[in-house]
Amino acid sequence: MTVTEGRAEAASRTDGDVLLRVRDLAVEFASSSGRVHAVNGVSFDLQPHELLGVVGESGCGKSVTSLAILRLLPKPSGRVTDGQVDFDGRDLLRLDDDAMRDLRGREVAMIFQDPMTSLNPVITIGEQLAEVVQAHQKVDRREAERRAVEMLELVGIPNAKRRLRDYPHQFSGGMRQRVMIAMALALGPKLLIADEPTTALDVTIQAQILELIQRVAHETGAAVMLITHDLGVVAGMTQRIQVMYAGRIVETATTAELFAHPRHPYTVGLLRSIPRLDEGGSHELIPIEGLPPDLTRLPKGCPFAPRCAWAIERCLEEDPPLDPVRAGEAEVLAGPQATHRAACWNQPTDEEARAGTPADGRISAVAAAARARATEAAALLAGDR
Amino acid sequence: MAQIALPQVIEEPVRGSSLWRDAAARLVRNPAAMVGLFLILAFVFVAVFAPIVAPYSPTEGTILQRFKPPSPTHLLGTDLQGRDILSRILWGARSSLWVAILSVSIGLTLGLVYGSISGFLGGWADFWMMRLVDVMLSLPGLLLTITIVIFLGPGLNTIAFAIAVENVPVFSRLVRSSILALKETDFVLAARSIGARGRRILVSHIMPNALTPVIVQATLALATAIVDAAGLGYLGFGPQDPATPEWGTMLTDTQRYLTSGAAFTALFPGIAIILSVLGFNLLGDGLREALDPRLKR
Repeated sequence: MTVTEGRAEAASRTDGDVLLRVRDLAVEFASSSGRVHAVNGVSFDLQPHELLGVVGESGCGKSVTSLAILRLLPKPSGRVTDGQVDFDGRDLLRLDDDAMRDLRGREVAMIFQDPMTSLNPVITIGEQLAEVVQAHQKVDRREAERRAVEMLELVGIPNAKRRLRDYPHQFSGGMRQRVMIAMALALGPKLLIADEPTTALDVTIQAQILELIQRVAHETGAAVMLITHDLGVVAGMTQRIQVMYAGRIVETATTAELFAHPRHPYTVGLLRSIPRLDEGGSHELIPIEGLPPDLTRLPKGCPFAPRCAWAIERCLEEDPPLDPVRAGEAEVLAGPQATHRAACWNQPTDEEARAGTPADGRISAVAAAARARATEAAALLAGDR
Repeated sequence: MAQIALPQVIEEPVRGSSLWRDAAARLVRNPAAMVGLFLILAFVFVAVFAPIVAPYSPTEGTILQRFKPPSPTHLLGTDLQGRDILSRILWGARSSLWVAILSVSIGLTLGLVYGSISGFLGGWADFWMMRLVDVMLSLPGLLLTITIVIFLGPGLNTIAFAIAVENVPVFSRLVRSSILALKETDFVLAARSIGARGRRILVSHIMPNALTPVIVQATLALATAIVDAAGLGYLGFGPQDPATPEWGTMLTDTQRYLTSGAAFTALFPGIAIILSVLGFNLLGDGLREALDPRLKR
């Protein structure tokens, strides 16, 4: 099977234009301090060939969601407690182990954060590349090796043939991530999950790797789920973004819409905390005060409320649903026409989003109190160190 | 294979090379390890070529020549039956080497299998398999080996087997703990994410990495086996055939005469034991340093 055949197959076997359908996914981890509710009812769709960005800070459940989809959660502590994952017409959470194994790498592939540790130090690159092919197809050594060369060339590694015999430590970080990408896309998967693929790399290499993922995904026809904590990374590359916080999706929209009209205070916070070149002039970078909630006991109401400048009474009582920001709008869950949805009772306006704080009359007593608490907690923590 | 298809690649040395070769380079730079290696090579050499290098037969001696101190004719003197001590030590190296190799290979193989099954299965199977190991390790080592030898009868092979039984839990625990650590590594997760089979992950991703501490432990276990074998020999569980010299048995044979001016009869076999054990220990420590990736550069 070549790369182009893979694409044709991916296109012909889609389930009503939804490649991946996740519903109410919930994941728990057993820990000494109790159950950690890492993912709490995540639902989303992904279309074939779609480039989706999943954004959030560490511990918000974005990586756990992807590991749960591939059933690679660490055993025995991690467990999917609820939900459904349909991929290409199959229920992944109920697929038998062998079918699941065969699906990994062939239909859904994954790239991890740290290319320095994701390759086995004692096996040659060529052998590790050949392994992908041999795990799914009956091919001889030589054929597997020929394919490995092809893959390395695809991701732009010079002298591919010669480098097959090299060991991972003879490659730079960027080159290793290229190798990981080659491995992931070798069999023309329909979905590529890239978990912080550039976080461990030099800034100068990051753009190259992102561009490579984009190009190779396009050539192989894979949909991409790009997981990152950096909105800057997803800005230029994805078509749609999901923002996650405390194990749930708090806002989702097409990339352009999300950057232009963020409607969740957390998204606003993320946007205000990165430098933007597209707005011209200079603006202050505003950090998000406080810390993410303790996932062993989630507070009542909106999980972001304790850190939120827009918080009102209702936020502390009722958990806001992920609803369309324009009330009454039909919900399109995926694709270029995806509806802009946010889980917030008191959404920031465009002006407020640009300023990064609520308009003067809109700071509630609740938010002021929350702000004070958050600052205090941060000070305490800083004092601890 | 492709090495044949691409012969031109082999001649071109790329910078560095495999981790194993790096480790070998570090080992060579370690003088203590090299002394150890020299001692081991000497030990293996005399064990293999004892029939050629030994000046006399290890079993024949005249009673009139007994307890002759070291002299040009008998470099290390003669024992209570007038046999040449040097020749007996050289032949005795065979016994020690045989016991060391046999016991460590049995112990290593069983421990490797047991430990990897336990570590790879995890859960309850792992829990109970490791409790069994705890029980084994809580038995006093020498008592356990003596008991086994008593039941199976004396001799080199039974000594080797008894020492192997003592080694199995040690290797099991070591292999299991490396596997548990390796199971959590990114490259194992990455291998799972591309759909590699469980067996393949164990054999080609986990085992080669888990072997590093095992190699070190095996080298040190060879030293322990030599001491244990000598100890069992000293206690009278050595080969019953007087034609098979054994260092520990040589010590027993002469202990009654130590104070009557024949201390050398015990001294030289003792030195032989010390040097061979020292060799394996020095090399083992050197290997530990050479193979530890944290000490790299």
